[in-house]
Amino acid sequence: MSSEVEWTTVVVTKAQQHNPTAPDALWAQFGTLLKEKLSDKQLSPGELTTVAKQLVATMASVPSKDKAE
Amino acid sequence: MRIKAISLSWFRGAADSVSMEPDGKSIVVYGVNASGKSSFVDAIEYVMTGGKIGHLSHEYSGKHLENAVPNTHRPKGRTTRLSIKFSDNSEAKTEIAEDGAPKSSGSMLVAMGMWDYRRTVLRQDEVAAFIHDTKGGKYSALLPLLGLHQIEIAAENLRRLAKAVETASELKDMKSAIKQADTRRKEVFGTAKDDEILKTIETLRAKYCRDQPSTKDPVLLCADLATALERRTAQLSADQRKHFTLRAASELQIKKHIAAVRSASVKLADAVDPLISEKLAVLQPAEAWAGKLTVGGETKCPACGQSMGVTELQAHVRSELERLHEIRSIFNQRNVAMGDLCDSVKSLKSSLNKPDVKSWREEVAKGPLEPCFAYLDDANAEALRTACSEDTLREIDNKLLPLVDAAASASTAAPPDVQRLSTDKGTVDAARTTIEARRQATSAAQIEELLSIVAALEQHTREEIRRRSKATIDEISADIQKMWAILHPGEAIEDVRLYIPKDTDKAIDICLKFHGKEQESPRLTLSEGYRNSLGLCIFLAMAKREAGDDRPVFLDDVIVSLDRNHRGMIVELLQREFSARQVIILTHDRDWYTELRQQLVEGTWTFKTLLPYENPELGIRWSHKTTTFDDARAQLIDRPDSAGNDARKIMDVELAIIAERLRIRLPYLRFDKNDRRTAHDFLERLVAEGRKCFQKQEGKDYVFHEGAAEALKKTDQMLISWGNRASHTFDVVRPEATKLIEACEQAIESFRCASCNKRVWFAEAEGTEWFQCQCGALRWRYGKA
Repeated sequence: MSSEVEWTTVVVTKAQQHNPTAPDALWAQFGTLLKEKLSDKQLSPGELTTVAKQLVATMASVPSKDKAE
Repeated sequence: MRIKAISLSWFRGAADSVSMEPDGKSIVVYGVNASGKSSFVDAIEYVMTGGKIGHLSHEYSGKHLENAVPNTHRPKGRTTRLSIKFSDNSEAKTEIAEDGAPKSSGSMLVAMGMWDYRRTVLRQDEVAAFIHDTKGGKYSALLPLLGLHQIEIAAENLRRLAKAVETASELKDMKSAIKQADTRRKEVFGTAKDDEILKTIETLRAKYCRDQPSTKDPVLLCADLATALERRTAQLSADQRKHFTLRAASELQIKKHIAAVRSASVKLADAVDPLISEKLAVLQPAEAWAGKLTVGGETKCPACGQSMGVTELQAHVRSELERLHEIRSIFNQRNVAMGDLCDSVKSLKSSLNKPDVKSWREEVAKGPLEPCFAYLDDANAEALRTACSEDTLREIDNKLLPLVDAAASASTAAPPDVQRLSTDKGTVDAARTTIEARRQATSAAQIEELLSIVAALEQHTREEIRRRSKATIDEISADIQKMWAILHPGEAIEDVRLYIPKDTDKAIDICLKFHGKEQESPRLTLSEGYRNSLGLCIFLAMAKREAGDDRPVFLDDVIVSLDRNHRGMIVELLQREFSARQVIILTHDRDWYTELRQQLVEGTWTFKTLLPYENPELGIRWSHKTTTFDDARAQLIDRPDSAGNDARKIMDVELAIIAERLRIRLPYLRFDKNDRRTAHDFLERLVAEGRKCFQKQEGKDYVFHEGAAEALKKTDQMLISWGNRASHTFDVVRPEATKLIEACEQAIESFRCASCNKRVWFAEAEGTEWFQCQCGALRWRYGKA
């Protein structure tokens, strides 16, 4: 199993293929979130709200790739 | 991680300290029913689970199992305790207090707490439990093996994160505001495009803000205009301001909003009433229906009673979901209409309370509109945003619309420049909300993109769970198939495997081919014996997967429903698949124990027998013998004939296996008589062949093993006389039975080497057709008799 690709990489890469215009910063953020916060324990509603607000802020601050281009 | 010893004191059946000491080896423990075998397994479970034993957890056992765990006759001042020692001298110890609370210590305590009971211990009544469990139960039993705990948590967090994003971003409110702005835009600008609206605003700017610096930013443009219009309004005369305010009040769309709330309420009532009736009818039989879902195949719809397939059911569920979504959308429409009505009433209240219209209001309030003003002053407009009954709507209709009409009637006399100013103010407001809505639409699109990303991540995470589950399940299935093929060689039940049912999360089931036909569950075709056999394979495959060769496996009386042939194959299964693991087998089956003792490799395996249980004060006791003659010996005092008969029965089994190991050829008998040979048949043959085949070493030479032949012959004679009397005429006396048991034991032991303690069939000797013990002091030539 150790030689197998990290599951978070698999999941993020596949989701990225379906949403190619989403900003890179968001994928990086999701990669970290999946590895650390989201797979650690079941998050409380408060913790989920914090994560949600961070993601919304990233979406608002970084333009999508098609718009950036 | 191999067990060296399990020691019990006043725990379950144990009295003073008693230990099972496999010393790192695999072990087979024989004991008649209630001799105390399972007390050792209970001890393992107790330590693993921090003080719980599944089969003892019931209403009578007490909170801490204090009524079930300690020996019932534990003397005062003695403590219930247990200890599990491992080969590396690490240990887990538990002392149980009077109230049953366990106090545990030892370096192995945490490690043992990580062991999963379902893959460490298999008891008689649990053998087929996995097969009989639900699909979800099977998944949960396998989940730790799949190593997907983290991914499962992530999938669940992603599902909940989508909802959190929706709430935190106030997406619903944003969409509602966009919709409202769109309606306002259509009212004011009709079908005009964005650039046309902008041109209108620029024209107004030229009219009202000529002296201000030009800007291309439409938001700033609207802000400048709003300020200019405010300034212009403030400069109006008192009469103009009155007209301006009344005109603003007259333009409020209260009538339209009342109609919108009514319309949405009617739609809601139309949709909800039948839905509630239907859902109630669904919920009532839902409990019974839920139980049938696991059966698979067709099921009956609880709402209409019709049989339907899975696809049909899914379509049914989808259409029900669509209905619920539709109702939710009507709810939203109603909420928007109530919000609009609330805002309009607040604006009316604010307009008609302005000092600009004070004189008009005092004049009008003298007539029939007096109660209308009273209602407006008392109205809690904000409450309309969340609740609005038909009574309230009627009151608004009756009391507030006349005020709007009166304002409209009074504002018709407004000078044209006031009318123009009011219209321009409305245009700028509508343009501002349109521009604001465009910005909100961009944010909403971003949130929706984020939601679609979270949904995609959840979907791919679940796919990854499925893919990884399948890979692991296939590996476990391969082991199950291998083990099943060992237990059931050449049988027409094949391709036994675990699988993930389609379109289902967190579910696993077992399928197989029965005489070439696919079967969705072993419960459809397999007998109880075969189900147990399969249950054993599944347990061993999971146990093998979990810990490699690192943990012991306990099999407690698991072969009860297997026939003799299949029991025999378990030996092969253990030798082929579990030679590297420590296996602890407990059995009350004397024949199987004898078979195991003869077939499993001494040195790797230890064999121990428990004495029959006498009383709680004596507790669990080991026999110093590895044979099962103590069962017979236990009856010497009260029933010597039974003791003699037991000795004869033990010899029937022991000698059959010895004859098989020594490849003794026996004449063919008709029908099942081949399987019913007695100890005498085997002894007669062993004595005859022993003259040519059984040799012992004397110096450098081998000579006929006369001592062994004598022992066998003497035993045969005793069995013919005393053994037969014990089983037929029941008149054997204690001294006779005692001698018979001793002779039988001696006969069996004559095949064991006094030097190396191994049996004569321990290994192939040099040359051909010879067996020998380990040191070569004993040998037996086979095939040449």
